[in-house]
Amino acid sequence: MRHKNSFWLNLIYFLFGCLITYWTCQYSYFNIDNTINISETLIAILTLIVGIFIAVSLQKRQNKNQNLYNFLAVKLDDLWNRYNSFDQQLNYSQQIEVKQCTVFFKEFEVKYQSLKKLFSTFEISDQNIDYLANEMEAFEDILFNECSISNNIISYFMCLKKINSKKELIHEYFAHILKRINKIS
Amino acid sequence: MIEINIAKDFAETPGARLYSDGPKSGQEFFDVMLKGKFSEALEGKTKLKIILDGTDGFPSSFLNEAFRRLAETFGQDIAWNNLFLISNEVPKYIQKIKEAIYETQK
Repeated sequence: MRHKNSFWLNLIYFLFGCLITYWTCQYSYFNIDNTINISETLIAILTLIVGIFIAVSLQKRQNKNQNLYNFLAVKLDDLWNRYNSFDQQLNYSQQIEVKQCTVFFKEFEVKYQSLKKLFSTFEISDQNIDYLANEMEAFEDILFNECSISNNIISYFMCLKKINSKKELIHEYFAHILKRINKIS
Repeated sequence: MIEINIAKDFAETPGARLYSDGPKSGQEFFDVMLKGKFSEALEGKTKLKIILDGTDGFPSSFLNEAFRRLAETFGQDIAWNNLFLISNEVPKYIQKIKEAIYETQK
């Protein structure tokens, strides 16, 4: 059944093609010139070369930017995820071990330095990277210097408001950095 | 050179600032280890090498307390000039120690 249908469809296409060809041949305004104009030909070739060059260089730039974007986006995602998990930990309770905090801040610093190095290597200027580090230091200071600590357990009930506002600010800087990375692509 | 490897000789997980904050505090580190070893280094006219790598990380209060006390006891320049700090994992710790030593000058 399907075979039969395709036969009729092909026949219709063929007849339609014949009709278009016949109509085109009747059109008297087409004038095919057999002579070659050297200057116009050279201009056409030159235009073609320039066109290809522009297309290739744009494609290369696009690929380069895409690679850089992917590279930075992965690094930022990793850093932000680590921060998010610590943020969640703080939300669940009002106490946290000093060890959990030091491990987090150490890991964060190592990952952050790696991201910062990439920004400076690829000459991407963004002050939010530095602001993020400053806010993290301030966040660390609140936990270790302003909250009460006993038996190496930090109770942050009294400074919860400060901690929450600092956490929000840090998320904002992460978002600004992500926006900057998105501009690369 | 006299050496302190904090992770091996004192604690893999350093505590907070004071004795009252819990064990392995910066104050304890200064009293138990840093003060004595630093004096030993000065007497031997050598530097005190401190390895900061290998720990679970330092609370800023730990470093601040220990090295602020060192500067108070021996003097800021003597303290800073006779230390040889190794911190490959988190180089920022060296800056924090310097800030703690010269803190009172601010």
